Amino acid sequence: MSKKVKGLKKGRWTLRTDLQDFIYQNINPYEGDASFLSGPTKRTLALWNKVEKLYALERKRGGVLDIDTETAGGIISHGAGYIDKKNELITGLQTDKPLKRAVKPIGGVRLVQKACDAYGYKLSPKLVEVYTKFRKSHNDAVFSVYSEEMKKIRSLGIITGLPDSYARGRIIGDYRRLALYGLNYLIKEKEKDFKKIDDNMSTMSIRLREEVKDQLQALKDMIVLGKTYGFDLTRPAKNAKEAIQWTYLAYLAAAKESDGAAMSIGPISVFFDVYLERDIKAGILTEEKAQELVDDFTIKLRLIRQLRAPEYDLLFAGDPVWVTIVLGGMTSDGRTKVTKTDFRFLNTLKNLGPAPEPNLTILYSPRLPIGFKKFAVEMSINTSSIQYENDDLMRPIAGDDYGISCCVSLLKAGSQIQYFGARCNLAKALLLALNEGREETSGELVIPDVPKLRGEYLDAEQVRENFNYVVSWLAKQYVKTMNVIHWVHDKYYYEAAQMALLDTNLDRLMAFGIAGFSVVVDSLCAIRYAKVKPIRDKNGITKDFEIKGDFPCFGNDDERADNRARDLVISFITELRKTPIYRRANPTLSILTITSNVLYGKVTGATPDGRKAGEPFAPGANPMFGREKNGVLASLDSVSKLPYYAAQDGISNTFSIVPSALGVDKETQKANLIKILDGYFTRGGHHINVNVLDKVLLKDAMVHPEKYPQLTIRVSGYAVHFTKLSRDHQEEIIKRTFHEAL
Amino acid sequence: MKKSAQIHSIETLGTRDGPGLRCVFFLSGCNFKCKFCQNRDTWSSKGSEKITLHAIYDRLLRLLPYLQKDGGGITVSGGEPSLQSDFVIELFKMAHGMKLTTALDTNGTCKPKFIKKLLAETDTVLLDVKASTLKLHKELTGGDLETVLNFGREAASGWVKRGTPKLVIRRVLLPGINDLKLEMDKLSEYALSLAKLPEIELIPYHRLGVHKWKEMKKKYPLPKLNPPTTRDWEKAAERLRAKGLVVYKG
Repeated sequence: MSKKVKGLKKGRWTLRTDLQDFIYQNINPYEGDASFLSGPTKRTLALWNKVEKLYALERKRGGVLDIDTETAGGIISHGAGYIDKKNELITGLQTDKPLKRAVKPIGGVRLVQKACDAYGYKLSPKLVEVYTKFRKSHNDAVFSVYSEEMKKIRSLGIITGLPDSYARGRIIGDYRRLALYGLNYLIKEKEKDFKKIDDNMSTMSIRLREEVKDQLQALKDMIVLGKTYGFDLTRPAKNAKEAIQWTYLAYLAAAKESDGAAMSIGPISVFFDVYLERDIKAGILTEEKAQELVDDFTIKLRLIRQLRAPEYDLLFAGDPVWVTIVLGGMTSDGRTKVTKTDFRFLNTLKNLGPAPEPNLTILYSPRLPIGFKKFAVEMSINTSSIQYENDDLMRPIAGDDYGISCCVSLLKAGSQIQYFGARCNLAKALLLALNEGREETSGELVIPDVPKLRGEYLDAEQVRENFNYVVSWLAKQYVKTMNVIHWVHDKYYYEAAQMALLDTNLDRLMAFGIAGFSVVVDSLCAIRYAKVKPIRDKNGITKDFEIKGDFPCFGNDDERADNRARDLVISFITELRKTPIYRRANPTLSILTITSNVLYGKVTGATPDGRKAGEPFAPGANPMFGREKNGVLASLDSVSKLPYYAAQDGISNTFSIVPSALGVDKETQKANLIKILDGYFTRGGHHINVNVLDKVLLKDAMVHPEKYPQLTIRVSGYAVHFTKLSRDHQEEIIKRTFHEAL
Repeated sequence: MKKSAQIHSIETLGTRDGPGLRCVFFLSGCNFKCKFCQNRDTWSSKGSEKITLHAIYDRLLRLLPYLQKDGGGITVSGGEPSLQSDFVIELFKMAHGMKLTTALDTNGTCKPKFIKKLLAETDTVLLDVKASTLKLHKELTGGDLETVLNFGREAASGWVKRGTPKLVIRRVLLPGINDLKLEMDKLSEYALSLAKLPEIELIPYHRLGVHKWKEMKKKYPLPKLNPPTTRDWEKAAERLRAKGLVVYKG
């Protein structure tokens, strides 16, 4: 590998793959304000204009512009594609045309067929034949292994959103490696790694040998992908433009190969900045050109698409891909990681207008430079397109070089992956506890031997015993189900391109999740502090609940409720730890629903907190709508008390406020939002989405979507175009706590 | 020493009632009966909750990271908080101990024996002067104007050890009622007569509190009054500014 790149400081990174060291040696921390930034160039605007026209066409065609039904997607499945070849600075598309979606039948051929049918296309009969006769798909394989219990808890929506019919995603290749080291070096290193794998030919060593060979093939395919676009990726990038281009092509290889639920891109901003600043210093780049490169790269990321079946949209509304980019943060030696390029990425929201992708995530610390904080909150107030996560909580766990996967999940860059595990609907679990282990909508027996509750009113002690029993039973099934899915996924739908850009011996997490969090906390409080009488049908299944008296609710900084919330998180992860996990992965837990809180609510019967059957849950770790009586800070404080050490996959909080409640004028609003973020993160809050929007505007957008093509709003860990959401989701968002204090 | 109070509600994100972010405590019970009241449900303290200093301490302790910056702190409003002055004094002392600032949103009804102690612990006085002529004040609020004005004089008088509190005179602007020339003249005359010049906050009247009257099955006394237009507001503000007063919108 070439170690003599001019203007780069050497270090351990020159001796071995070590991106953190590269950044340590070469970072240019920036503590100033946003005044240096450049607006969009004519070229950028013209290119973006072309994309906007394609967007409009995509909307007109029901959400999908075009599908290539003939070719199964892969790293080198398609030739070069361009928006406007002459005017693009960074090139590469997933197929031969922008927004044209590839099919990935290896995940599940029937699902791809369904998705094609839904948009008026027909999947090529040849592909159908290959993936039914000759090649088992991930989906088929999982279902051939599932036990009866697993099928039942899955189809009844108790454990739900599982990546058994779509690709698991959530893995972040370290795409920077391609730019820093070039493919020749990476191939050599992987070959060395292969030789070091124990040749005892145990099941695991056989598997790893096969996987590394797949990775090597993927790296070789990347050379071809580079050539398709006229680049020699075998060598390291020489300048900023190449660094961005190389990194993008590495990401593109992954996005072409896999249609993972979330395809995040990791900590690339600080990396790009090293090259951009070096080139600016050397006089071969101006600020305007630097911004142009970032804008062009962002346009590319805004074009990433995957083909999804309609069922998938019900779970994850708005066609997301979660190209999550992290900005900001501090290093453990006290420097800031904020660079001018972090500003440049935020500036794309101005230059190109707001958008859900890439998913801009600020690693927040109260110690961040004030200039950056001010610019970030200004962008939040103007675009509602940014989320914030607590760098001070995550840095001690992950070190200084980490990314965010999907919405809120921490992953060390380059050395760690997670096995995505969707979530368990704990509200349904509570109802199983009240109904002798029978599911509340079907009456079907799921868990045997749950004792019948005695007495006219629910007794807190009895309910707790039953609930603990149910949670323990479910946790075990949940882990086992996850073991099946990821064993099969590794075998049938291995993400070779991403894994090729990661360490061979990985640190693995298995990410479990909770849905219906605040519903359960409030229900337990109602049972304990008020009198709750279940109304049962003729089979003895609860249909509704009569509640007499007041009870504390989550979201009011009331320790009675908040202590129960803490207990719930800790007890669930404790149960999950009891069952052995595939490939010795460490279990983590999220309180995150994305937009699925609407669907989960729909399939869940009435709950003892007074929520009626079918009503949506609150998203993520949010308190339930309308139950927060003490204003914003009390609500934030309840959420920030949840123990991150027990839920390291992330605790998502979505915060929507009308501008006037933040302060009289823009300046006060900015200052107050900074105070809120400083306070929330000092208190140990993990994640927060910030929406600063008027309800009136959203209502108008429901009626006149054409007027708001770019209206973006943050929902539980990611952002979406408001007008792309279903009516149910739109109403839920408007209903969701809008803090309107006077 | 009073260690508990009758409370109506807590708003943890106050951005309008003093500097920084403020936790606002709405105490129950009021001696005025303002026709345009936006918190009709705070008039009576019957059935209201009791809150202890201890419980407030726990809550504030958790919120310190939000409240301590840029002079943030707590505001006591209501109802009429000065009816529970003995408690408010203790609460403010506690807040100062926590490095929080204190603000009092009041109509000035404070027993004379508490006035000095209360002002000694108050950093900002938000004094509601709902009208500046005796008759109109009586008609709008049922209360005595002189008590209000006297409290303002005490607050501005400069004897307070911790430094004279900042005084803000608040006026909810009811178009055609208390925003006329005579009213504005009297208001500026009063403001200029004080030992320390107060700021004036003109709050446009709004109807967001009307539903509370309905919920309580009470007739809203100003069924047809509309909020002031921007021009109405500017006109009133200009009358005060012309006299050299600092005026802002609430």
